[in-house]
Amino acid sequence: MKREEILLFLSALLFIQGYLFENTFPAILAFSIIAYLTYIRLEFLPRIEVESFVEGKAVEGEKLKLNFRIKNLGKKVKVEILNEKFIEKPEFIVEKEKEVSCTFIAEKGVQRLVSRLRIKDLRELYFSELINEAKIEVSPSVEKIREEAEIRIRSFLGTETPEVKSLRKFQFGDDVRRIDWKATARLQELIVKELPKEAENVYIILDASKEMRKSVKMAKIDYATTIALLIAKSVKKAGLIVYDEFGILKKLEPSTAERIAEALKFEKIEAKSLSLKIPEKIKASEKSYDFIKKVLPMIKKRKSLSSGIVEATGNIPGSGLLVFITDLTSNTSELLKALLELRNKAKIFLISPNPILFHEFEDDMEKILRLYKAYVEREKMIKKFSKIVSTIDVGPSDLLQVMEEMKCSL
Amino acid sequence: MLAVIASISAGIHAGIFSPLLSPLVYALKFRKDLFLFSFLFYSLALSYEFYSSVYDEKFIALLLSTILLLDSGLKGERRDYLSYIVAALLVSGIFFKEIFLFAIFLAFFNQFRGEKPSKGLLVLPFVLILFAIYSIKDLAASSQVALTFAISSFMFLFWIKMRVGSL
Repeated sequence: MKREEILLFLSALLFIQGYLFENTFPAILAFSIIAYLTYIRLEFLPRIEVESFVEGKAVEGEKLKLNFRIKNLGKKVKVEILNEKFIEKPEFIVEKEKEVSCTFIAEKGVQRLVSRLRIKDLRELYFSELINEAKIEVSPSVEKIREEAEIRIRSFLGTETPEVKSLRKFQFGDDVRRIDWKATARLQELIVKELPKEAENVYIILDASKEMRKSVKMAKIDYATTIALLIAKSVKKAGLIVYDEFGILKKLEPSTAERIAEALKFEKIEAKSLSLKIPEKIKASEKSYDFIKKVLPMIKKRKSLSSGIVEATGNIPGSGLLVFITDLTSNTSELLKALLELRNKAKIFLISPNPILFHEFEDDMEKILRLYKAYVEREKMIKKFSKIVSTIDVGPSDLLQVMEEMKCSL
Repeated sequence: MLAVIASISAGIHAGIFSPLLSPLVYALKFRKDLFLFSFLFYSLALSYEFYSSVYDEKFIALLLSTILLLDSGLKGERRDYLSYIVAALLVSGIFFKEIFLFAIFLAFFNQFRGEKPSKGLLVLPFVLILFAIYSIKDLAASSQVALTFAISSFMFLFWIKMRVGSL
């Protein structure tokens, strides 16, 4: 029962009491209560202006403070800030102006915090609500990724660079500074350390299309950015090209992991389910592709007529190691063509987050059958890609597997 | 606390015991829902025990002290220089009948000062109409109750336009 309803109920009982017992006092008291409620209602005219901002750099997993600057243009009111992501739920009185901060744990990507400000009268009988939306760009945490990767792949992370790939016998022409004296003393012959070759021109080509950004339990883009950061950290410097269905979104020349982390902020799309759209045939007719390539960009108001993957691969300079991270649900034929052209120039690795493994599994036979069919189709497609380039089909928990398989290349 | 002193003081003058429950009601003010329920029972008990004609000073004092108790429980009270003076006047009002009603009006004014009502003053015509109608004392009590109810219903016309959420 609401508070106002309690008082109205009391008034009704008092009127009945006054009528039955022929007493005017209860009736006048009831009238006074109704007059009191009417007075409070008429006086409750909140006029509030809210501004929200974040101080400092936002990094994933850290506690962040969202500051609210509240201006009251009317009478004194009580304000309560409601948001399930906040650690505390502040409630305070605002006379003219007040600044309040709320703490929350930052999540990777572009985070939208929608807070409800409940403005109440001082007697807490009535309220009105104001919605405040804050858009916060959160960088992925390099430190957190390092913790997740565990001891087996520690050589790829942090400051411990892989100094030694292997040991071998000394050969004419080897640098004497590379002699491993401990191994030499043990084996009684000159042994040198073989340092790993640092890959030249490592480029990460990341698909940030709509399907990749869709989030049901976990967005594929989150997984992809984790992989991209791990790679960037292990090779010290890597280039980055981010593309979507229609063109390049971001391009970075070989940079440090920190710079790459700054560029890896994506807005996720909340969805009830992921699309399991797997092209039945990779090759469609040339005419239909040409038509779609011309029309879609105009509908989407894009300047370029080429698809994102074509533009991305066109921007890859020279040779080196190319790591493609894509779920293979958009522009698949064009990707295949691009890989066929590039495999002669560079070493290519394709990491594909499997949309079926990122799906929310429900107890629904029809859905499970659909997922199975999609899985079988996808397996065929992965086999086709594996014949061209090294392909890894991964799910949310396959982080270590990916790094193990890439160990040799890096 | 002023509301409690006012209620007890009005109860003493009216010769009734139910205002002695006011400290109990006031003590529940930290849980607003509980406070409102206890105020409901308090008001019913008070109305059952007290019987008087309209222009009696005990009638007005009890009425004002009850509304004062409701507002104090919901909004809280100020603690300043004037509040202590009002408290002293209310206590002395128990012993000196002459200053008793004046003290209650002063306590009522003290509770609502600083609010600077604007649209809330629209309630005032209804209060005046009520008093005008009740100048006709010859009406039977049940007729007076019915008339009061009718005037109260008109106030709901203001509620139609003022759409706010209630807690």
